[in-house]
Amino acid sequence: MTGCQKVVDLKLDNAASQIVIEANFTNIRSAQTVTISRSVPFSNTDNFPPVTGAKVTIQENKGITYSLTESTIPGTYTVNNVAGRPGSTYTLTVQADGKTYTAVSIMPQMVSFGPMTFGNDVFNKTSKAVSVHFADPPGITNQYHFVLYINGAQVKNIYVADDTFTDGSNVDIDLYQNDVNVKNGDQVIVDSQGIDRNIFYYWFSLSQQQGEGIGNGAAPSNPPSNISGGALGYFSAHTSVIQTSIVR
Amino acid sequence: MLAILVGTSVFAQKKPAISGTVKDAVTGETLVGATVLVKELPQTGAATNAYGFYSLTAAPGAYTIVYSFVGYAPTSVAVDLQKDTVFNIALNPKSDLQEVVISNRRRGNENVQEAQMGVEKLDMQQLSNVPVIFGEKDILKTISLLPGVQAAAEGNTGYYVRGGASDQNLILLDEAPVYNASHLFGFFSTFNSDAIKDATLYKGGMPAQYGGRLSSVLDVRMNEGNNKTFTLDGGIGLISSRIKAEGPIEKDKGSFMISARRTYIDFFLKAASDTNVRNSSIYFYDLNAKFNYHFNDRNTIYLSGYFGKDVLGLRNTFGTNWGNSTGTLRFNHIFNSHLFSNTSLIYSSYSYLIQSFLVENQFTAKSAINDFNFKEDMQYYINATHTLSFGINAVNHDLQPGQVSSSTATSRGALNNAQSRRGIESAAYVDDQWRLSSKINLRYGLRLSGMFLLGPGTFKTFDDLGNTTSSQTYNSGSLVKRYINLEPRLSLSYILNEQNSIKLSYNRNTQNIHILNNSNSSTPTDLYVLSSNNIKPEIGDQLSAGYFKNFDDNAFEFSVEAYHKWLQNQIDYKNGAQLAGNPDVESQLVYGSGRAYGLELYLKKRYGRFNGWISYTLSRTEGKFAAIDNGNYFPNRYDRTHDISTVGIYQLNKRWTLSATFVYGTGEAVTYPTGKYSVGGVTTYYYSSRNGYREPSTNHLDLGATLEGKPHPKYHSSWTFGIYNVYNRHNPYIISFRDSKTNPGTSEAVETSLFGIVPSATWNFRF
Repeated sequence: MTGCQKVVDLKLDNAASQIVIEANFTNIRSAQTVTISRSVPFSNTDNFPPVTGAKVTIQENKGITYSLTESTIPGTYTVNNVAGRPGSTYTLTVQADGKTYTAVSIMPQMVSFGPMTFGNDVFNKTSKAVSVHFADPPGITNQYHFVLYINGAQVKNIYVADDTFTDGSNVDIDLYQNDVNVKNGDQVIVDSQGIDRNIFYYWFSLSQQQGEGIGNGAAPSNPPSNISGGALGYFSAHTSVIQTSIVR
Repeated sequence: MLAILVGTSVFAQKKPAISGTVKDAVTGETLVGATVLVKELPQTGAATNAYGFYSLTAAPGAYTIVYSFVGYAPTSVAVDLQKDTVFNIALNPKSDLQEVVISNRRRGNENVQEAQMGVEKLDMQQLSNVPVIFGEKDILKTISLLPGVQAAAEGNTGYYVRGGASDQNLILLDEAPVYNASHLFGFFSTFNSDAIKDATLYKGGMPAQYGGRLSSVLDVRMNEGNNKTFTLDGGIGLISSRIKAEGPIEKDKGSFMISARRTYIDFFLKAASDTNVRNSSIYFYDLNAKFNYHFNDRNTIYLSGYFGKDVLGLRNTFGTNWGNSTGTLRFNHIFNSHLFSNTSLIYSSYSYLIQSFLVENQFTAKSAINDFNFKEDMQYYINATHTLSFGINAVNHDLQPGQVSSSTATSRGALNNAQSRRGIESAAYVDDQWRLSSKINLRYGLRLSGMFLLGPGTFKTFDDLGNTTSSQTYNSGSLVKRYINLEPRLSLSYILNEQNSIKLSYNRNTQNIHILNNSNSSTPTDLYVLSSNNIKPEIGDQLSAGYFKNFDDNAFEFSVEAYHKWLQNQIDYKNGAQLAGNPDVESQLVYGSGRAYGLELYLKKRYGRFNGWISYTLSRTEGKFAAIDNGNYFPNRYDRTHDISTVGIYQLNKRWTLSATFVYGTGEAVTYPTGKYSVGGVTTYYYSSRNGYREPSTNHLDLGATLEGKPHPKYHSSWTFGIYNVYNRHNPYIISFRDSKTNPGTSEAVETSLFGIVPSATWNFRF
């Protein structure tokens, strides 16, 4: 009598394929990666064609420029053994398929994170929820992005937070999700990122459009990218604290 | 000296007037819109106002005055009119239904004659036979069956009039504004139809006494209560029940009416197998109360109130409760045969709390609005050709948009105290109904409206990007911002002959209270804001024209109306607006314009064993914002290209009445993806133009039947049966996109719908 869902076949148009740049530059000495791919029609399978032969550079302040080279995985461009420095401004330049795209991102100062804890998930009685804890630095605006992995698989939820009401406080954030049941013995990895304001708006905008059904978020639109030239995606220079734990 | 002589002689030769009040002989209720005609002067006539008062001017002479009203036996009074005379009339209701239907009396053609266009007066008797979901008589559902009025999509609250957003409609209950006129997903109306005497909807050609919203005014008047005997009415249904008690405080002088309703749908939910459903709560209740007392023929006092609350909690999804309260104290004073006054003191309050527990979008939003309003309205019936209305109005708004909220990752203790806001909206108006000639009726007026935003508080001004350009603190009562607007109103009817007329109208309206909605569906994340240093008053100009024809001795009404609206200072949220926990909501807004235009066709059979109507509206409503879609026009979400409503009511015999309703509406305009890509490990959809697609259409057929109980000396009973959505179509509520579960690695679209076939049965009684 009430409430049902069914899959429907909509005749959706196919927009021209858009270039998608996902660029991350962290403060952890490691391989830093930029992936470039293309969008596909809605009805396609989730195989996103890589863009090869692109020229990718990342410049630190007005100084050193790193050139990223295409790795064995097509569409992935890396530079090895470098680390970003908190407080620096990074400029990404991509030349691909005859066009140039640029983006600027500022790596915030480091924020340290306490050990993660596990508690009951109020929305999912059979699962545990992961909580992160940190002290927000007072007097500056901070933004955060958390990526959660359970047993090596990334949880699809997008977690963002800022310090509008928690500036200078001890903050506890519960990472609720109903994608995966988290049980004792599961391996949990949390990547806690300190991000700049533009990247916060990007992830926040995407998170608003997740979910389905009653109480859905805002009218859909493409998230505000910090890449100029007409590319989808983002360039995020961020601090990263990666913590691994076993649920108990 | 000459001027004074001329003045006094004109005064001495002033025509006498017949005036008074028209009431129901059985209950003492005043009758609104009853017709008063002079048999010997076919061009002269009047209608009773909202309080049952009429005034009619004629040259001295002998006349037969005929009083009539739908559902009542007409009365004639012979008079030798030499000076101002008062006739208070009581009309007897037709007791026999057959008689009402087949009556031979003169049927009115006011719809053709009056200058007023774009107005729908609801027939409360006919309403009781229109089938609606859950078997509840509901004026809001019924008005959506009229041309130019669209119900919000299934499960959503609100309605749209001529392409206007749902916050552009003003709903008045005994002069008090009602902010949220729906219970439970919009399936039950705030209005207990048992308690309603009269309801009129203005969708165009709004007279100058109304203002404050761009699109429409629904003026609802409650019954006063039987001032002769006590009665008890009620109904017991599957989902809700209602009761009404009324009676005299002092016979023929004062009366009271109290009515109440409650649903108990949640009792049924407890039987559900799903734990989430079982632990959910859904109920609402409301209470209407009214007292009135006639000191004498010239002075009457009324006190009315409404209290309602909704509680809705779907475990693990969201919880919401909201409530309206209104209170009105009114005083009628009849100065003389020509001058009528009504003074009102009104209190109106609305508050709601919404919590979303959805993992991806958790928040708590709380909002309240309190109004205190003073109104003075006068009607001066100058002579046979002019009726003047004028008055003033001032309302003090107190908004508490305290939004306590958390972002997607729950930050415990994230608290936001957005500042309260106070503003005074005021207006003064003057309006004249002018019978220019036997062929032309004109109604013209002017409304001067003002909005004064007051302190205390800190007021920030934002630029286009949402950055703060200035911030100023004001003391309590200081003026922060002032807006003054003139609203001209004009309606004209040109009578081709008694059965045919052409009408034109133009009006300008302004609006200073705005409801911001950022939701893809209509689950209320609504915020109320006043015009401010950032938000300008919305302005709407509407031009409409129509052709009206009655035929078969006024048994059929036909009309075709076309309209065009120009809207300025329209408000929307910017893409990616950050509302959760944002005390500066005004920094997230963008401004633009809008337009709406359409054609309405309407055919109604008013009398006869079979009656009903068909209405068809073809329309378009669009917005244009520099910040959205490169400033191109895009359709509003509620744009509905085709809207068809048909209602048929058939009186089978003395006891059975059957009815059917069929509606069809083009689907809502929505933004769909035109591609997808991967970011952050998640398949993300690429969107092109705003609202460039349509959801599937909404259509349903509803059937109803009423069985009158066998006649009984002590009480009257009846049964109302209904089936909503007979062919069980799952009309779309929302369409969303996700990774396919059955076919991993692909994407799918999912349609959620709310209601299939819903039967209902109610037993009604009256003592």
